Amino acid sequence: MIPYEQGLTHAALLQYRVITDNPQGRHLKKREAEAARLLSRASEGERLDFDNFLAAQGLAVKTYDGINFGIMPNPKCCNQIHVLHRCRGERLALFFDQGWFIEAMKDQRFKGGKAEIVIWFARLWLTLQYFFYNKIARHPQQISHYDKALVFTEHFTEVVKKGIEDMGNTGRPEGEVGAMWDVLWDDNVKIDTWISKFMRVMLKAGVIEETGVKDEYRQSLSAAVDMALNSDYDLTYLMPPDDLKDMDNRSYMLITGAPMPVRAQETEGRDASDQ
Amino acid sequence: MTNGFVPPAVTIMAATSRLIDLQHPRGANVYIPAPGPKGGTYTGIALLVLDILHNLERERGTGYVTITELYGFVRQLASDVLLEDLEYVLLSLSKEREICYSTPDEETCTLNYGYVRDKTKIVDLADSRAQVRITDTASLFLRICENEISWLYDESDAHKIITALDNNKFGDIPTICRNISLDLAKKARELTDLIEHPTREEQGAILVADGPAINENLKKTKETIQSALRIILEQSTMDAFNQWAGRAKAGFELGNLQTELEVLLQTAEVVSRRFIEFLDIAQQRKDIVPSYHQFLDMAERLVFRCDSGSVQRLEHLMRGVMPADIPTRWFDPSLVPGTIDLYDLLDNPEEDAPPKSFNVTDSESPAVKHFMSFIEKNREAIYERLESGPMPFSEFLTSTDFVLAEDDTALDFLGVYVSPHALDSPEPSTQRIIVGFPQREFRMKNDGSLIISSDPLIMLEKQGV
Repeated sequence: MIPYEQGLTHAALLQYRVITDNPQGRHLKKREAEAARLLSRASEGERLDFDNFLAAQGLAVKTYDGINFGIMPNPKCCNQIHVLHRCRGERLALFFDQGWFIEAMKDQRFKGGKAEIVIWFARLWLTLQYFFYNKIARHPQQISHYDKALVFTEHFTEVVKKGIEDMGNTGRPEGEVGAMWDVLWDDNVKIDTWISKFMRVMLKAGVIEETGVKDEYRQSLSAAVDMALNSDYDLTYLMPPDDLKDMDNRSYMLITGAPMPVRAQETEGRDASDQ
Repeated sequence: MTNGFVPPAVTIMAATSRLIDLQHPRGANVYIPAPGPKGGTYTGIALLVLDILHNLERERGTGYVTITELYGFVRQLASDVLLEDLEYVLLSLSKEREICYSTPDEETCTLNYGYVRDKTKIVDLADSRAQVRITDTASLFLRICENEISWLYDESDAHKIITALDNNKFGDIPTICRNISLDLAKKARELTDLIEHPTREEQGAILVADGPAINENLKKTKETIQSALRIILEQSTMDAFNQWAGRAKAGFELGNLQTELEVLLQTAEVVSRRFIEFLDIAQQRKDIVPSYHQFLDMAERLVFRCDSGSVQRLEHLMRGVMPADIPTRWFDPSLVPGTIDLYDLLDNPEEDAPPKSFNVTDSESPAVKHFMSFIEKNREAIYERLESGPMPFSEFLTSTDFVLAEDDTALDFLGVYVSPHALDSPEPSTQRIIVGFPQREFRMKNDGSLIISSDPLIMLEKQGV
């Protein structure tokens, strides 16, 4: 790979996040095939150089053989799919804006604060993951089923509204603990507006893709790859502490990224199946 | 309960069931009949009967079997089957029904309607109703079922390519290749599914048990494709292809077939690699217990376990899981910390030191002048050292006390071995310096940089002695 080719591949990966020369159900994007082929045909040394270059920016690229996702090989193509994702353990380069979605969720009429956006965003994000995983009994590690993970906005709205209603019926927790409850259970809240803004942001972030049916979206491959990593690292924070005495140990594991002991996972697995 | 393994015959039944339900449209509502109370028993008996009759047919040839004998075979496999149930099933399977269908007409581009009756019965009862045999439709059904256990049948599919080549059926080869390719792609996806889903142990266990056979089969498939590739390159095949192409007006060349086969070979290789990966993971899997995130519960828990730092932590988490955005439209290397800004180098070229050159020419360039003055200063010292015998260049550099001016280094001496005549004294002399190259290298450090150079032998030759 000469520097020009590295630059081209890097640019295509940054822009599209998923590149392949044999796309399914969509057209090739500008210079996508060229970049995908450069990456597929790179020698081991060249690939290592490129990986190091990406790692310096906190990024990594995963390569899948299309056939492993059931895609029939095209004789004219390399038939590989390259997905850009965060490199765990490396800091993301400064030119990335990680908090962009908070600004993107605002519109001219919005008068609330950042906390309100974060609370709503997290709730909607978790509901979206419910559609992609729990609803179709899929595990976050099952990347290959990304094309089966669909969300229909109308059903999405129903689930969000029902969740908020159940929460309201349970009653407000006393004192400071009720801060989040207050934000979500507000008479003036327009859930539909939040959802349409959220979907727009998700579309822009490349987490969901249009399916051709109005208001129905599909999880993108890059989002599935990200989620497989997120479920191992970040989401553990949201899991219930099964034993409060074990809190320090858990925090320590979260910081160091060490895997949880099998015993704790077994308990969680049992909890999950009970629910 | 069964162990989770669905027999191929049931899969095919399930595959056609929704098509059959379209025979009974009930207005606007989609019709989904509920299974009857003895549906499972009857289906089981029917499949058992077909299987037994099929085996008997293979042993004895086509012919009737008495129901009493059949019942005996059935009882050997499932002792709780009642004779009246068997009779009911046979009667049901022997009845004809009407299947309506339609196919598009090529000329008018509308649907042509048709119906079929005689293909629907799958056993044939003799007039006495005491004897039974299977029909051609049932044989077709059983053949498809056998193909469905197809993990082990790639090899026989691949043989079709060679058969097609032998019989000069070149037009069929792309279709056969694509069918095998599609089949392999499906298998690869199945493997991916099993690799990614740690809880589907049963399906995995079946494949692991068949592991050696599947592995062997994939290997043979590859070998078959390779031999097909060899056949394609033979002169006789080329001649046959040219003949066929002239006759059939083919839209492709022999080279296209070769490419198809090569891609198929690559695909088979990918699948066998994937299979080995699967076996590897399946063996390690035993101790892994997957943790399963319940996303809606997480959302609830967040609300009821909120504290002062919750929102801040949540924001941090969301920033981590959301894909980052690039606010700038242009990527410049200076955006990445720790890399070199190429523009800086372009803007400040004077900071670069001029490279040192050892090319000694007759021109009066500063580099040559510098070298000549260095030699001038040190000529006597060099001659003195060489009086005692030949010396490697590296030793010369490290042990000689050169007279150095302000901007001189010992490295200036490097140029000497490409132009030893520079060392000749200006006065007529009987001595001159000779350089020999023994193909050795030496390394030395100088002002923080590493010098790697060849290490010639320098000696003094006395003329006329």
